[in-house]
Amino acid sequence: MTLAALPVRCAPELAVCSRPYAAAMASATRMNLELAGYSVVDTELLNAEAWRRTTTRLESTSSRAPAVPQHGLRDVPMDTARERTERAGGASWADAPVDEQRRMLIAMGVDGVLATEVGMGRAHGMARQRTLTMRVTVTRLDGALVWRSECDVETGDYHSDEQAVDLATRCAVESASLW
Amino acid sequence: MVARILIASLALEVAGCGSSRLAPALIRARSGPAAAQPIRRVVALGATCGSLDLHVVEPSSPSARPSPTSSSSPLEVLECGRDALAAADQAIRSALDFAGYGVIDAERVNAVAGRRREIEERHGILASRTTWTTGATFADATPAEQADILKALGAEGVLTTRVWIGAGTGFSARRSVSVQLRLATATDRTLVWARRCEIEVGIEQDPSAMQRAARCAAEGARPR
Repeated sequence: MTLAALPVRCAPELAVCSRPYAAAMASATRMNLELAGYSVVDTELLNAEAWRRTTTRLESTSSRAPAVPQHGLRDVPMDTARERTERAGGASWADAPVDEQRRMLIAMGVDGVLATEVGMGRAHGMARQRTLTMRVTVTRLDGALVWRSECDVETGDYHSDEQAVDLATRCAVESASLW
Repeated sequence: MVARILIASLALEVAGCGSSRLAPALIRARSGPAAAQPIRRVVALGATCGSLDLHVVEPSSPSARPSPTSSSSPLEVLECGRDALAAADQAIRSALDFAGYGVIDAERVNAVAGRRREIEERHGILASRTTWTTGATFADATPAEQADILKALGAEGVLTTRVWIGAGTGFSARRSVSVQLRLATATDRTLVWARRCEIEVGIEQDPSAMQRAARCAAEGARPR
């Protein structure tokens, strides 16, 4: 089954919602499903319209003698190079209208959509622990549910937010990939 | 007495939480429905990476400005840097090349003809050159254009790489670094094989961990 993976959605107040966390959760989920036999297409990397990239490279060379004399070396070239790449003019899959998104997925042979959501409960108890919930859902392109897996991990004394995310991701996807 | 109990419990805790040995590399491999297909010419896409080993950016750093959408301290992923991923890509591609695959770097495949403009200036001992290159590579193209490019290249397979760095656990902040390779057919992306190598790293920053995991994952991959 070929799945189009959507970006990770999380509760807005969640600290673990930052971009690096979301990328980490997406990476872990997709890796595990791919090893379980699914084919996963990252929608973040899909282009609805082709992009153009412009690279500017600035190189400067100087054959001036070094400020600190170096034994045996009179003229040492001092080279510097800077490079900057800019992408423009394109559109990603997320920017496309819904019917265009669907048309693209069908053309690519995608059968379903992978959605990952993360939520965090309110702090409670002496250790101000919170419950992190990770939910992975696979639906067909017509919206019909194929399967859903959910895992809760408590943060607090023994689990940092990162550890809770790690455990919840593994748990939610491993149980799904055993089917 | 209390001090002795405290020291003993601390020693027990240290012994329990931090064995000095790291777990051995764990390799998982899977063959897909297209495993029997003879695939030699492969386009390798750039690795994607996710890490839970995050670092709070110092306020003095220019990149430390919080983004308009986040109110918390900015975090950055050091291990998933461009250079580290490029090094992992290089290790994987050279291993597969040596094993008999014909690997084409997707970054070097132009989707359209590029245009280049160069200005070179010399003032005595100083010389500078500015180059502007405009074009589009494989990653910039639409899926339909990518399919046409793969056909034109005669590519039979597409190789994708995913990297994952887990959260630090215990006193020694051990974390796992996984690199997963997936080879699929170029026409319909049917799985040929997938290989994952997971290694454990300790408290110190280990810049070579990703490369080691990458080499380990690519080891043993042979074309039919």
